[in-house]
Formats: sequence, C-alpha cells, structure tokens
Amino acid sequence: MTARMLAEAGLEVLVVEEGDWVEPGSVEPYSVEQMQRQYRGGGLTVALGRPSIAYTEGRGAGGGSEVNSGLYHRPSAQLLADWSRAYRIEGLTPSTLERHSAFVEKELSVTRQPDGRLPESSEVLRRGAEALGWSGLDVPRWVRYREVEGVVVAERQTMTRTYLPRAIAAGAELWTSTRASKLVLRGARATAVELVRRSGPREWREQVSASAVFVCAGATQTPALLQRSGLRRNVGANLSVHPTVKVVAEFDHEVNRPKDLPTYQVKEFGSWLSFGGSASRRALIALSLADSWPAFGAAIDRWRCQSVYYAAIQSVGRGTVRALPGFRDPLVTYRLTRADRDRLRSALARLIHLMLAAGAVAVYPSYAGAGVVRSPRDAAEALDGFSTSAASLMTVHLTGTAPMGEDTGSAAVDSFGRLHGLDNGYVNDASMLPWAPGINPQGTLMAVAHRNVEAFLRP
Amino acid sequence: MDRSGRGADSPRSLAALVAVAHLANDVPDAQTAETAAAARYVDDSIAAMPDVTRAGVRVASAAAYLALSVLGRSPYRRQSPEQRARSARAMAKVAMPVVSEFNRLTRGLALVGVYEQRGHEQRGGDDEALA
Repeated sequence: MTARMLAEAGLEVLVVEEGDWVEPGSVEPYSVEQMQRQYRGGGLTVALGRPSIAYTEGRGAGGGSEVNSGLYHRPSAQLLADWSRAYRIEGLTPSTLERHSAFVEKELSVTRQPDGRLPESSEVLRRGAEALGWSGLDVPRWVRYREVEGVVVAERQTMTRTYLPRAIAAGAELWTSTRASKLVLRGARATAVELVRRSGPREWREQVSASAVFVCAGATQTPALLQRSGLRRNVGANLSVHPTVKVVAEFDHEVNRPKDLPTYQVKEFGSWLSFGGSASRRALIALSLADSWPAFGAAIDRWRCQSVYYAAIQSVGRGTVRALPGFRDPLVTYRLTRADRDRLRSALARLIHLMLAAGAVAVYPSYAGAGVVRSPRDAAEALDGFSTSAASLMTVHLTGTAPMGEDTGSAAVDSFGRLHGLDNGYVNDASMLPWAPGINPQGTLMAVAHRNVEAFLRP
Repeated sequence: MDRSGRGADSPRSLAALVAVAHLANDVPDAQTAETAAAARYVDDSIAAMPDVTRAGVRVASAAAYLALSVLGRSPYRRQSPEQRARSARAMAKVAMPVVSEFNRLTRGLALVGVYEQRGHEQRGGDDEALA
C-alpha cells in the first residue's frame, strides 16, 4: 500500500523485504512448507509469559497478506472514538476513514462468498449460532472468485498479486532477502538505512540514503528496528493481542476440506469475544490435539470429520518488544491479567457450548489434561480442569507497539504515523494501532495506512 | 534411520531425539521415513526459530536432558530407543514449567512432522475450491 502510493506519486521508492518473493499459488496454504518459507521463525514465534502465547507473523514479500485468510472488517465508530480519546488521535472518524476504506475494498475486491455458500466447516458454525440465537456473519474477504472447469475458486488478493506489482510498475524497486538493521539518524532526521543483504550463504552490509523512511515491518520488528536505531520513546511497550483458546470439534459427517478456511464468525458478544474457525489441515488438527494426545490421539483417524475452532478475546493485558544486544530477533513478552484469564475461561465455556449446539459429537479442548466433551455435563468438568497455564494459547493479531496519537506521553508516532521527534521517519503498519481491535485488523490498518500516505503526499 | 534416530540421517538436536522418542509412544505405527522426516522437521524448525527463542530452547534442552537422564537412570543419549521412549513418557508427566514447555514443543513438532507427511494427498496452489 505505502510503496505503491509513493511510487505512483512519482517518488523514487526502494522497498526492503527481509524474506523472499514467493509466487502466489506456489505454496500449499497452511502447510509446513508455507510455515518455513513465509512465516517468521518458521511459525515458531512466541510471546513469553505465564503462560506464553504463540503467535505467527508473515515474513516475505507481501507480509501477512500472503498467509492470512484475508478476512475484512471495517472498524466501528466506537473503536475509533476510543482510540482517538485514549491517544488524542486527530482525524480518525468513520467519516474521515470512509473513502479510504471504500478505496481499499474496491481495489482488493472485498467480497463475500458467491450465493452465500459457505464451506461446511463454516456452515456448522452458523448452524450452532442460529440454534443458540447468537449473531454472526459471513465475513467478507479480499478475494476474487472465478470459475475454473465448472468449479468456483477463490483467489486471495494478496500484496504480491496487487499492490507490489503496481508499485513496481510505477517505478519502485524491491530488494528481497534484505534486512533493515537500523536507521541512521542525524539530529531529528533519518539520513539512511543500514541494510544486511543476503545471497545464498553470503551476507554483506550496505547503507542506502533516504529523504524519508516508512517502517512497515510489523508489530514486533518495527519497534525492534526503531529501538536499535535509538528511538525508544513509547516504542515496544504496549504490545496488544487477541489471546485465543481453541478446540477441535468432531461431527458425524465430513466437514474438513484442508484448503478451506471458515469465514463465518460469531459476534454475539461484541468486540471482547469472537468465535471462528481456524486452518484445519491434518497436521494442524494433530497439533491441536497434542496437549492431551494420550487421551485424544486416536481421534486423529477421523480428521475429515473434524475442524479447529477458536475463541479470541480482547485482552486487558499488554506485552513488550525489546531489541536485545547480541541478538538478531527481539524478546517478546506478554502478561495476561486476571480479567484476561477469566475471559479466556468464559470464552472456552461458550465455545464448547457453541460447538455442541452446532451438532458436534465430540469436542477436544486444547489444554493439557483435558477430557473429551460430548455433553453439557462433560463441558462443566472440562472447565473445572481448565487453567490458562495448561492451555496452548495463540494469537495472530499483534498491534500497539508504536501507537499513534498526539499524546507524546503515550504515543510513538503522531496521528498520521510520523515518529515523534523525527522529521522524516514514519510507521505505517499494525504497530501504530493503539490496541488489538477485537476484529481482524487488516481492514482497519489498510484504511489508516492509505490515509497516512495521502497526508504525507499532501503539499 | 530407525525409530531411535540413529543412523546417517540422525537428529542433530536433543529436541529431535526427544521428538522421535515421543513418536514411539504417540504414533506407534509411524513408518521409518515418517519418523525421519519428523526429526528433520524438528531440527529445521529449531534452526529457523528466532535466536532469542532458540537460546531459550537450549536452556530448556539442558533441563530436559537432566530430567530424562534422571528418569532413565543413565545419560539420555546413551539410553536404548525403548528406554528413551519410556523416559520421554515419564517426562511428559513432569509438571516443571521449563520441562513441560520443552515437552509440549517436541511433541507438537513431532506430530506435525508426521501428519504433514500423511496429509499430502491434497496438492495444489492456494486457490480454494468451493463445494
């Protein structure tokens, strides 16, 4: 988004990407190969704490858009108002964001499944919600549907399919396998970026001068880069995520098509608690059963009748990202509050309730020592044995590590992404969103990023 | 390589060695090739981890090695494959935080490694077909 807009405005743009360019469609989604090629740390990244929370981030040209499901929400008026009040953000209202959202939706073909058809793993979730009278929705995605030999296929509109080619066509240069290690500062200006370039086993350092720098490295790498550059004010101290508990639900019929991703989400409880489906390849089902494998392992033979579902909460707790001397990657920590733990317990209870209402014949909660749930009575026992420290918590929505706003006591960048204290350094990624919004954040992020570049380009 | 992890293709890390032992308990019908692939996956995954996390895994490995050696009453690397499997099974019940995290990591990676092999009947790109 940022590179494309800058290049089309006639600026000379260099895009630096630590990972590689992986041709869209060349890697099986949610596979080990994809983990190894397109996720940071091979997908084994964790925010340490008690308990630790596993998270995943995309790494490679196109970043997270290459590996996520492309689910799209607009931010609510309430969320924008809360953010604006807490951080004194200027010009962030539904009306000011409207045309930016509309632009993104048009360009990336944000749409719902044709004819309202849902994958079976979503259909059961919808049936469960309807049985309980809970509200939910088929979430739009940035996807193009086309018919191939009589079958409708979905093609995600990732950045390597959309904005990056357009940026390059407009004159931007893309260097992959190149890591930005720090910004070179002179007074209140960034004068250059120090890079580590890689070609096979060979690595070398290089400096590229710049009149302006946009850092869009994600909520862990952006603050780490800024800290390594000596920019530490309000950077890396406000990590916010959606901690998530999950279950494997088994049905009396096949629900699992490994390439499907459930698009239906249950939103009965507002932003604080969401339910949805996760990637459910056979290996990922096994991973979700792993905490209680001696009791659950035999169920893997019925994986075609199973799918993974999650309950994600908005967390009161916060984490940190710290660049450590001598280490290439930052130390990421997260601290759940007592309220978060209570929410997670409640979330798991409701998720099990929902899956039973959806017709699940068995539910396998992902925490050590869990038992199989086949009835409401089993559910009560399962919750008695649940503790967050025994659970495999995970998250994918990391935000808040360089929050935006005019309150220089808490914000790292101004209302339009410019770093406080730096004349020509900007952040334009999920780091600037003040906290995890209770929805998939990329729709919000894209609109805000579009707005910020437009403000930068305005004379 | 046999299920013990010995041979030219033997696991490089203690984590992979323990993962192989977990598989002997968890997936007793795992084929030699599946076990070898899982061990390679564990090794590759640990090599790909962020360096800070990898440093933590090294510390956890040391604690786990001690626990496995005490439980097996001999240094873990010198234990027979059957004894290693017994030690891994016993370690899975140890409630110490570092050891249980190591156990969760190695078991999870091993299972992903095996079932990724078994799940390869669906091939193709990232286009999702609608029913």
